[in-house]
Amino acid sequence: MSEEAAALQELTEQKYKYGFVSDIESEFAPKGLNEDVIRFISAKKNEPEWMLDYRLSAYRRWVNMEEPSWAKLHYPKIDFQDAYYYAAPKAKEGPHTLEDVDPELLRTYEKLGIPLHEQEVLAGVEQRRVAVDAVFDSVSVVTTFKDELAKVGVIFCPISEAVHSHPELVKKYLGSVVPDTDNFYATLNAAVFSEGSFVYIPPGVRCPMELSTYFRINAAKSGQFERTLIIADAGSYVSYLEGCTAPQRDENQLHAAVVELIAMDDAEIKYSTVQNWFPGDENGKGGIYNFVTKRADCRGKNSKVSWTQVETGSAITWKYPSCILRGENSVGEFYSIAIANNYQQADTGTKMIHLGKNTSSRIISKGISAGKAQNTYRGLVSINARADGARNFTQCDSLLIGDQCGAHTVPYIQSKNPKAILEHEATTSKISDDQLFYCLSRGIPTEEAVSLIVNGFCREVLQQLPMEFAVEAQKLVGLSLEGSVG
Amino acid sequence: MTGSLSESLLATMEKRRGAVAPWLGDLQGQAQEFFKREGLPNRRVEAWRYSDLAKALRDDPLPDATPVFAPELQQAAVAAFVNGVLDDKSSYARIGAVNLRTALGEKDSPLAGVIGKVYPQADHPIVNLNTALLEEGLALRVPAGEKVSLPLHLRFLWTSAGSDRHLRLLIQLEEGAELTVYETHDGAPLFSTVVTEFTLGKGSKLTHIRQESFLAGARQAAVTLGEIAEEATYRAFYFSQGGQFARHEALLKLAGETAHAELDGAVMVADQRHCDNTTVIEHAAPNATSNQVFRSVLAGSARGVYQGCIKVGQVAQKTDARQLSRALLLSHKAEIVTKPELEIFADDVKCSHGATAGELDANALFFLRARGIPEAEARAMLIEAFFGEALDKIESDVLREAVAKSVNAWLTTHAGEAAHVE
Amino acid sequence: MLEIKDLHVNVHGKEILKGLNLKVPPGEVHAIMGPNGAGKSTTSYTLAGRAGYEVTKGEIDFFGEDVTALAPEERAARGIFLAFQYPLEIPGVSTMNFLKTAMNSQAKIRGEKELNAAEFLRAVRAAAKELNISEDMLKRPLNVGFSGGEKKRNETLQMALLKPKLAILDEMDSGLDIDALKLVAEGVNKLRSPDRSFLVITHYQRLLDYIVPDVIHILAGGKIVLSGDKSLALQLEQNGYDAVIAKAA
Repeated sequence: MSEEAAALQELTEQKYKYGFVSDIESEFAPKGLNEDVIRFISAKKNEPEWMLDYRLSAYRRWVNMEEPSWAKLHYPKIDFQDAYYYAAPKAKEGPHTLEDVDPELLRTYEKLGIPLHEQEVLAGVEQRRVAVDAVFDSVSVVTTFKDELAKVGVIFCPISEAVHSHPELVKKYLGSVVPDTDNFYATLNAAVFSEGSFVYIPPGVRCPMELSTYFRINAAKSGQFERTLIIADAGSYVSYLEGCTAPQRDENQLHAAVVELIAMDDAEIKYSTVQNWFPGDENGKGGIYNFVTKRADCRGKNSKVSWTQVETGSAITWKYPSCILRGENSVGEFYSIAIANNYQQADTGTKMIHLGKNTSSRIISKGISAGKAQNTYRGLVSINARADGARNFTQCDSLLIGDQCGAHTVPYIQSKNPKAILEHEATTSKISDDQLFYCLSRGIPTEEAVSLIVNGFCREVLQQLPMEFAVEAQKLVGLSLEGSVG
Repeated sequence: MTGSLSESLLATMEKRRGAVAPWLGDLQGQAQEFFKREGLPNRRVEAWRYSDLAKALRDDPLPDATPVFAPELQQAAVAAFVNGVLDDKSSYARIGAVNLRTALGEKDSPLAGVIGKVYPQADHPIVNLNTALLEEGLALRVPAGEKVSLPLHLRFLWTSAGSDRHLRLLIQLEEGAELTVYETHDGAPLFSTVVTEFTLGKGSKLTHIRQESFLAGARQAAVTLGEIAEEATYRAFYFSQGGQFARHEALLKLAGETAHAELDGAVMVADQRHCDNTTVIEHAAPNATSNQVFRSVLAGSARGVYQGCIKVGQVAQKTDARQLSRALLLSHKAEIVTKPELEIFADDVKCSHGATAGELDANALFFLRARGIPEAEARAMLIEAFFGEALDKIESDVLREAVAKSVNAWLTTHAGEAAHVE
Repeated sequence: MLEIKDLHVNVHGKEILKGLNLKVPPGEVHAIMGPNGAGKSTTSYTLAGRAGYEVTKGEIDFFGEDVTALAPEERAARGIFLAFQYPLEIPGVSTMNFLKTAMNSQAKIRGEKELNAAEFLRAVRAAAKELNISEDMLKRPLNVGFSGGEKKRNETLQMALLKPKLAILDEMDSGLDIDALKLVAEGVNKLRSPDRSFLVITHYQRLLDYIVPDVIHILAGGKIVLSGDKSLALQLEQNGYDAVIAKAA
C-alpha cells in the first residue's frame, strides 16, 4: 500500500472519533411500542396523570398515521417494533449531583470533550462558561450551573424534572408550537419522548451564560426521542447550543426529536446545533436516522429567533427548523451547513411563515455533497396577505465534490402581499481545479485545501456560531469530507 | 361530482379507443388504464398542488363575454381549430402540414413511430388523458436543411363552450431545418387539452411563440414535449393571461451536446384568473445550455404559479442552466407561488435560479415621477418595460407586434390597478 | 424663486433637517456643502418630493407657492429638477422613450402643447451632440450598463431638455474622473441663464472649481450654519469642516 493510500485509510478510519461504546449497565423498556411501553416510560419518570394522557392520546393518533414520503430520501422501511423506546443507565433515584454520577459516565463525557465540572470550567479564565445538560440515552445525567442560573431566575433543567417542578409552564407551552398532531415523527415523539431540556428565561433577563444540551445515544437497538422547550419571556435573551453523538454500530438507530421555541415581545433566542450523529460507515452501513421537528414561534413584537445548524452526521437527515413570524417586526433567521459524504442522505431546510407586519427573514443554506451522497435543500417562504412590509432574503448554495453525488434545491415561495419583498438565489458549483491547484502550488495538501475551500464556502454560516462552537465546527467540516477527494 | 365527470370521461375514452386509427387502440388503452387508476390531477398530487384541475372542472364555468379573436397572421400557413375541429379550408398545407386525423388513419401511417414517442411521459395525467381522448390535430415534418420562411399560425378559436376537445400536434424538424410556430388561443374552451410533441434534429431551430388570450371562463391544460438533439435550439416565448384554469407545461429534454433551450415567459393575470407555467428541463448530454426567465404581473384576485425544475443527469457535465422568476403583485388579493427546483447529479455544472416577488421598484418609480411623469403612467411604463424585456427578444417584427398588441390591450385595462395598491 | 423657511424633515421617524432656511434668487448658483450626515441628500430628496421624507414643519416656497404637498411629478412640471447622485437603471425603458414621456408629461401638466416626433428628435439630437452622447446610448435601456460618466451626462442631457427653473445637483461629481467631471460641468455651465437657478450639493470643493457658485452655504446638524462667497470653499479646503463649523458656532 502506498504511503498516501495508507494515510488516507487511517484518516477515514479515525474519521468518526465518537464511535466508541461506554460499558454501562442499563435498564430498558420492553422492546417495541404499545400502550404498556408508554405507561412504562411515564411511570419511570413518575409523571402526573395529565402527562400520561397526553402521551397516550398522541400514541393512539400515531398508530393511524403514515410516514411522510415526500422527501428525497431512500431507506428501507423502519420497523418501529424492533427498537427500545427507553434505555437508561442504572442509577440512584432522584435528582443527580456530580458525586452521584457513575464514574464510567463521567469518563464518557470526558472523552467526548464535554465539561461537566463547574469548577474546572471556571478555572479556565478566558473560556466562556457554558451550562450543560447531559442527556445519555433516555435520561439526563446531570445539569450544571443550575443554582447559579436560578439566582437570576433562569430555569434550566431536564424536561422530566420541569414536569414536576414547573407543571404550569410545561402545561401551557408544551405542544403549543409543534402540536402532537403535527406530523408522523412529532406525534411519535409526543407519545414516547423521554428526555430533553427545559429553559425559561424571565422577563428582561439576559441569560448570563451559554446553555447547552449534549445528547448521547449509547445503548444498542435503542431510539432517542428528545423534547426541548425554550421560552424567552419579554425582553430576554438566551443562546442555546445542542450537540449530539452516537457509537459506531452496524444497525440504524432512530432519533426523532421535537424542539419548541417561544419568543415573546422583544425577546431573542439563538439556537445552534452541531449535529454529529454517527453517519454510517464508508459503505453506507449503520448510522442514525434523524427525523427532527424544530419550530419557533415568534409570538411577540420585535422578537427574534435565529437557527444555526451544522449537519455533518446521521445516515438520514430530515429536519426543517422553522419560524412562525407572528409578532410585528419579528425576525427569523436560518443559517445552515449540511454536509453529506459517502452514502449519507440529507433533506433539510426551513420554513419561514410571515404572518405579522414588517416581519423579516433571512435564509443562508450551504449544502455540500461528496462521495455517493444526496443533499437536498427544501424550504418554504410564505407571506400572508396581512404581512405588509415583510421581507425575505434566501440564498442556497450547493457544492459538489465528485461526480457520484447529488445536490438538489426545492424551494417553495408564496406571496400574497404586494407590500412584501422576496428575493431568492440559488447556485450550484464545484471546487474548481484552479482553486485546488493554486493551494497545492502554495504547498497546501489536497485534504487541507478542500477543507479550506469548503470552510470558505461556509463562512457566512460559521460566523453565526458561538466562538467555541465555530472552531469545533470548522474542524468537523474538514473531518467530514476526508477521503472525498482522491 | 368528480365521480360523474370521471365516469363521463371514461365513457368517452371507451368510445374513442381505436376510433381514429385501430392501431392506436393499444396506446389509448394504456392511457385509459392510467386515467382509471389516477383520475384527474388534483392538489394531493405534488406537481398539481397549486393547480387543482379536478376542482376547477367541478366548479361552475365563469360567465364570459363574446370572444375576440387574434387576427389571422398575414404571410403565414394557418391551421385554425374552430371549437377543437381543424378547419380544412385553412392554409396549413402550404408548408406541408397534414391533418392528423387523416394521417393517423392512413395504412401503415408514418406517424406510428412518432406519436407518444417524443420524450415519453408514461405517468403524465394530461398526456394520458389527451392520448385516450385523441381526435384532432396537425402533423408537420420539415425535411433536412429546409428553412421554412412562412410561420405556421396555429389558431385555437373557441366560439362557444361546446363539448370538451383534446388536440395533438406533432412537429419534427430534421437536421438543420428551421421553423417558426405562432400559437394563439382565444375564447373559452369548457375543457380542452393540447399536447404538442416535437423533435429537433441536429442543428435545427424551432421558434415557438405561444399566446393565450383566453376569456375568463377558459379551462385548458396544455403540455409541450420536446426532444432537442445536438446543436439544436428551441426558442420559446410563452404569453398568458390565464383563465378559470390555464396551465402550460414545457417538458424538454436536451438530448445532445450543446443543445439549447431558451424560454421567456410573460404572465399577466387579473380578476379571479389562474395561470400556471410549469417547466421541466432535463439536461441529458454534456455542454447543453438552458435559460428561462418568467415574468408575472398579478392583479385582482389572480393566482400565478411558476414551477420550474432543472434536472442535470450524471453525464451532463458542463451544463449551464439558469432560471429566473420575477413577480409583481398589484393587489392584496393576488398571489404568486414559485417553486424553482434544481436536481443535480453532475459536479462540473453551472446552475442557478433566482426568484423575486414584490411591487414595482420604488426608486425607479420616484425617478420617473421626479422627471414629471404622473404616477399611474409611470407605473404602466414600468410594467410595460417589465414585459418589454421579453417582447424585445422576438426577432420577427410581425410576430413581435402581434404579441405586443395583446400585451398592450391587457395593460390598458389593468395597469391602472397598479396605482391603487393600498 | 426658491425660499425654504424653517424646514424640519423626518426620515424613518428621525429628525434630519432641523430648521433649514435658504433663499435662492433667480439666475444664481448656490452651493450647499457639509460633512457626511449633515442632511445634504435629505435636502435634495425633500425638495424633489420623495416619499418617506416627511416635512413636519416649515415651507418650501417656489415662485411664491408652497410645494411641500405636491407630488414629485407636479414639482417637476413646475421646474424643479433633481440630478441624482446615483441615477437609476431602468431595464426595458429606452432612454429615448423615457425622455419623450417625461417631456410630454410635463407639457401636459403645464397645459402646453406636446412636441411632435420630429421636433422631439431634433431637440434630443442637438442636446445629445453637445454632451457627446451617441445615438446608440439613446436607444439603450435607461442607464443600464452605462459608466459613471455616461450616467451623469445622461442626467445633464435630461436637464437640458426639460429646461428646469431650479436644478438641484446632488453630489454631481461622485463616481467621475476629472475628464468626465469637466465634460459634465461644461454641460451644466452652458445651461446657466438669468432665469435658471442651481443648487449644487457637494461634499468636496473640487466640483466648485468647475461650477463656480455665487453663494456657499454650510449645512451641519440639519441647519445652515454659515453662508458666504466662494472663498468659504477654500477655507473649508484648508481647515476642514470641524474647524469652520466650530468657528461659526
